[in-house]
Amino acid sequence: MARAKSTPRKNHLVQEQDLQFRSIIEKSNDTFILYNPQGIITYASPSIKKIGSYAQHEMVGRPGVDFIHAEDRALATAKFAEVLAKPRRSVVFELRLVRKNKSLFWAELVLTNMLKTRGVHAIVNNFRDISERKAAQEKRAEDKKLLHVLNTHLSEGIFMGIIGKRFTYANGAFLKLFGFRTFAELQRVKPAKLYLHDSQRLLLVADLMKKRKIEGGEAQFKRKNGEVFWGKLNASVFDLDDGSEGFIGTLKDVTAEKRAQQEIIDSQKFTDNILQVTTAPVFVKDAQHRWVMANEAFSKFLGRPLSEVLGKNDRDFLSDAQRKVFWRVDNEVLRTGKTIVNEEHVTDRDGNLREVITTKTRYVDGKGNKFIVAYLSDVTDERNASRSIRDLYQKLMAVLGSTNDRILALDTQFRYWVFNPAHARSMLGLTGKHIQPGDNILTLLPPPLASVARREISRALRGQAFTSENKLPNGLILETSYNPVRDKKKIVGVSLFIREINARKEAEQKMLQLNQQLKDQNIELARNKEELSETLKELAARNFELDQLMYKTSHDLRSPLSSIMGLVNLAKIDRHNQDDYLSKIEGRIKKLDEFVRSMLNYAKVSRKETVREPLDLQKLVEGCVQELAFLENYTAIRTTYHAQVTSEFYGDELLTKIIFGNIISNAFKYYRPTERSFLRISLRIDATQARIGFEDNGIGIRQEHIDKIYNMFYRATDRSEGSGLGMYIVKQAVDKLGGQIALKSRFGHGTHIQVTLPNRLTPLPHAVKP
Amino acid sequence: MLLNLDTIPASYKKYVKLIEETDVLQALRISGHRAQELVHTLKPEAADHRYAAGKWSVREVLCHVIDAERIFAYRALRFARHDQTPLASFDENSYAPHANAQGRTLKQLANEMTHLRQSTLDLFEGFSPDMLLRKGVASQAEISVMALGFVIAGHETHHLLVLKDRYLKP
Repeated sequence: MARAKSTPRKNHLVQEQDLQFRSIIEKSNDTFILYNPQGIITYASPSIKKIGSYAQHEMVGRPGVDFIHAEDRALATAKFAEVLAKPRRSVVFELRLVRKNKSLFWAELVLTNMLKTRGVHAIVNNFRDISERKAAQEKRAEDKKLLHVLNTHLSEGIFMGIIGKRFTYANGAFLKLFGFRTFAELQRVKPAKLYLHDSQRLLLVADLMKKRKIEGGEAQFKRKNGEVFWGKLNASVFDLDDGSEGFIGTLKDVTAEKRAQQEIIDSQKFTDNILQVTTAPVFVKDAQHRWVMANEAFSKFLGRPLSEVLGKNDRDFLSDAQRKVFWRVDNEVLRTGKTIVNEEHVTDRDGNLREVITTKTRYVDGKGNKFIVAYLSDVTDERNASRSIRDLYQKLMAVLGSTNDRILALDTQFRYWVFNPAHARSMLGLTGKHIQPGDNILTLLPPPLASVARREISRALRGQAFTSENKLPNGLILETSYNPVRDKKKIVGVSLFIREINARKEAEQKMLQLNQQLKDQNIELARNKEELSETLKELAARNFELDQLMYKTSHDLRSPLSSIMGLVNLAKIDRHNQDDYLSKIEGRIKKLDEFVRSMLNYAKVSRKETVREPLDLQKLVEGCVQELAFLENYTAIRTTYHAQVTSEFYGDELLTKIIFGNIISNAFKYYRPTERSFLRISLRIDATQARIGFEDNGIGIRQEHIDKIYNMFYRATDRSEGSGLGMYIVKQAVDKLGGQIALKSRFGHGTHIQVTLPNRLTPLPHAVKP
Repeated sequence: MLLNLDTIPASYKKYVKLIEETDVLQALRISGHRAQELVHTLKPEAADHRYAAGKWSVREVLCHVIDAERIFAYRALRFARHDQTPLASFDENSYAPHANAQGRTLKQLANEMTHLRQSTLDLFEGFSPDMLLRKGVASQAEISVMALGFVIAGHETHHLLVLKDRYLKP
């Protein structure tokens, strides 16, 4: 830099102009430094003190580059040269200046060549501190660089916008997340429309408005193509100049994490469900023997709530001896990774000792932590049951062994399942062989027994339970009870209980005989009793009859006698008509005679023992008819016989004659003179009985009398002069003979009597007795 | 706890059907946010808009929503406390002229809605599952406490939809 020339005249002027210039620059806020063409500082304005902490005199006379940062000195020299070459021209540039304390600051320099300017004659450096601006610029550049890096390298979407209105910025990742190609495309969409559920948006926005920011808010978003993704949102709100509110934030696609999380939750739920549904107690222990997981069944097993169990170890609940067993097994499982099944005894909450089979397995998680997974089955009840079954079986076998009855069970193929020693002995005696389970009983037994056995066992296999008796060739009598053996409903075999019953059989036989005797005696007794009561009844009847007889007899005997007495008296007085009276007396006597005869018949019938003798019934009938030949009307009635005889007849002649005589005489007595009277007698005799019919066309009997005609002294007609004993005697006689009498009659038409008498071809042991 | 729609009186069913949430508290929260969002978008000049003569103004609708929420919440409180007194119905149309809707700004109404909803939420948060299932009779129909919560949210949502549909369509 050149030094200014000076002349006296000019000097004055210069000085004046110089002063003017100085007064301008000294009052300026900017800092001025003047250099000569050699770059030596000729002047520094007072404000240098404020910017660089230098006093003016500390700078004047020194080269300007001394105050420039070493790295920028080349730039400064070049710029100085540039200005030096062009009078009145300025260059503007930035460089770093050095303060008195060696610190740097950025300055913007305006370097002007005023060498030719009057009153100046220097290179003028007008500069200001631009540190702040520079710093901001640098920051902006850095931010820009960072944003660029973010845009190009981050998957995280970055966005900015105005609440309720639109987006003002979004990075590429954000556009990509939603499937938009350009920001303009995004800008046409309302931010609210990007959410899948408006409710999720509302909650996020409400949260954001309340706290002015949200961190890690999650919601589902819609892509342009309709796809849905889970996003994790960080956002904050800031005020904009126009009073509205802006938002800025980042958004990350967390669908995969969400899915993984859901899968974990699902699998945890699944595991949990399985754990809780499993009825067997299951638990997981860590390497310190602490329960870290267990199901309800395990909690029930211990009798403690899960909350009380988790985090505790065996020491908290179990006896030391039990704990030692468990831990030994635990440690071995942890060390070796082997699955160990162990039978253990555990005390439950009620203090009962439970028998437990524990299956323990090692599980190592992703971080290398070792766990024991255990599965328990409580076999106490099963063990108790099987023990009692064993006891029962032993007792049963003892009973089976000590009984003399033979007991065995066979399957459906007739093979032995089980048999007792008594049966084995019996089979040994019978077949000479030692039987074994599995042997077929049918092939062991001698053929005749085998066929019986096959038949009966098959019957039992069809489902029948029954008892049979069989006699063996050696005379033994066996009683066998067969019972089908069922598994559920299916018949799987048959059990046999065989007993020798010879002794019992004999006893039974004796008993049976005694029984029979007793029975017979009973029957005899009953019969005697019956006879006795019959006799009593008869006796009572006879007594009644006797009374009647006494009364009737005395009356009926007295009445003809009285009339005879009267006639005799008349004959004594009226001697002229004595013959007439005599004939009348004769009539009375005849009647009396008839009565006495009847009485005799009755006496015969009731007193007489029946006898068995051969009888010619036809002759007997004819005889009876003949006996009536003295009757006046004898010829008025035509009597016919019809006989059909295939056998001899045995009976009692006297009683039979009384029966026939009475019936026939009735027919003759009660004839109807106006008719052509008849009496048809039919006889049918076979080996068992005789049937004798008497049919007439006499006066007949009124219906109301029919029931009573067998009564003593009953007269069915007014016309008769009868004794009233006839049909009574007939009935008595028929009864005595064990026969029957049937009577049919129509009043005014006739009567048909049929008598049936048994044929006593052979004598009967229990003949009807009088 | 799920709500059985069949237990909702017929007159309320259409409201409850508008609610997608299965949790009554969440339903109340979201419906409340939705209402706030809508009310905040309203310009002051829309406050007295009626879509037809004789219909309520926007402010009257909001007053009605507020009234209804207070009454439903009161019913829920009584039923939750095992009060079996049958509760009377109310005539919304005779309430409207006396609600002083004209005297209140949209901002005031929005504030009241926010505070009321928070109060309702606090009330329902205090109900145990057992209490939510309790029932009582109001307007001659049996309804549960939980159902009343859904009715509050559903009734509000119903009126928001009407506002959007009839009042705010350009």
